[in-house]
Amino acid sequence: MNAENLSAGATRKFQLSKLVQLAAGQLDIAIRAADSDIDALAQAVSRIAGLTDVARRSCDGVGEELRTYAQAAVVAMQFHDQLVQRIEHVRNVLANAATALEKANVAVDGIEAQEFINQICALYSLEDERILFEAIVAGSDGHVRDVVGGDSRRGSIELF
Amino acid sequence: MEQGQPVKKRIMTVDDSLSMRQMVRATLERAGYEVVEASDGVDALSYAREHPVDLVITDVNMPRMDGISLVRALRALDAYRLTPIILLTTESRQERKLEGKKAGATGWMVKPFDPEQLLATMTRVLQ
Repeated sequence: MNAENLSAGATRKFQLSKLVQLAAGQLDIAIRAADSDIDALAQAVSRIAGLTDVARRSCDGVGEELRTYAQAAVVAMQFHDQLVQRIEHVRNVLANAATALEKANVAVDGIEAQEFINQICALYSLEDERILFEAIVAGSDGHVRDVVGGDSRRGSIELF
Repeated sequence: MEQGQPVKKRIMTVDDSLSMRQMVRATLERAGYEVVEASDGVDALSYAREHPVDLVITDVNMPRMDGISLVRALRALDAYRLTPIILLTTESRQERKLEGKKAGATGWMVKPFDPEQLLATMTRVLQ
């Protein structure tokens, strides 16, 4: 590979780095754009859950049904927290990849590459993220189509 | 405070997600608890150094100070040596749970929480 090719390759890496940074930035905006709406929704759900107590006292049948739906809404509202985490993990992977790509003229050896992969894996907190990582990056026997979003232990409680 | 009025238990909820703190607050206040919020471990520890609470519910993955580090820091405070501390998190790795237990946490709940289950757990640990 001569100097001209290396320069062209470095330029391509730089451009790719910028595109990856752009993707990371778009995810960041997506997270922040939803903030005010989700806060308003959370407040509304909280208020409705509070009003179901009043409804229970005034008309038991309907009040009880309202309470059940309000409880379900509180559980469902928590989707936002998990969704934000997933998006943040993708954003962080892209940001790390952009940084790695910017080292256009530096050869990345096997150890550095493994450290980079280990850093990505350490970002994950959800079971299905790790399963997906294993299936795609670590080359496990699993298939992406078999990864079902969510965790079988969701909602579980353990007292020590 | 009027004579005979029971003192509300004070609960601190710690999470970098505002919507999560709102869901926890809504659940606890309806059950008659007083709730204070902190957006991460640093804010929570700062509050705890000045004010006692009866129970702490904290997320694990937070900026500046994670929940397990917060548990260790709280346990180092005389006022919080025996305070129930529950970790409420999406984190499901067994090794993280063991870290939480070793740090001194009272319990581990995986999100999303069910309001009735949360209240039942709190009643149990506050007894």
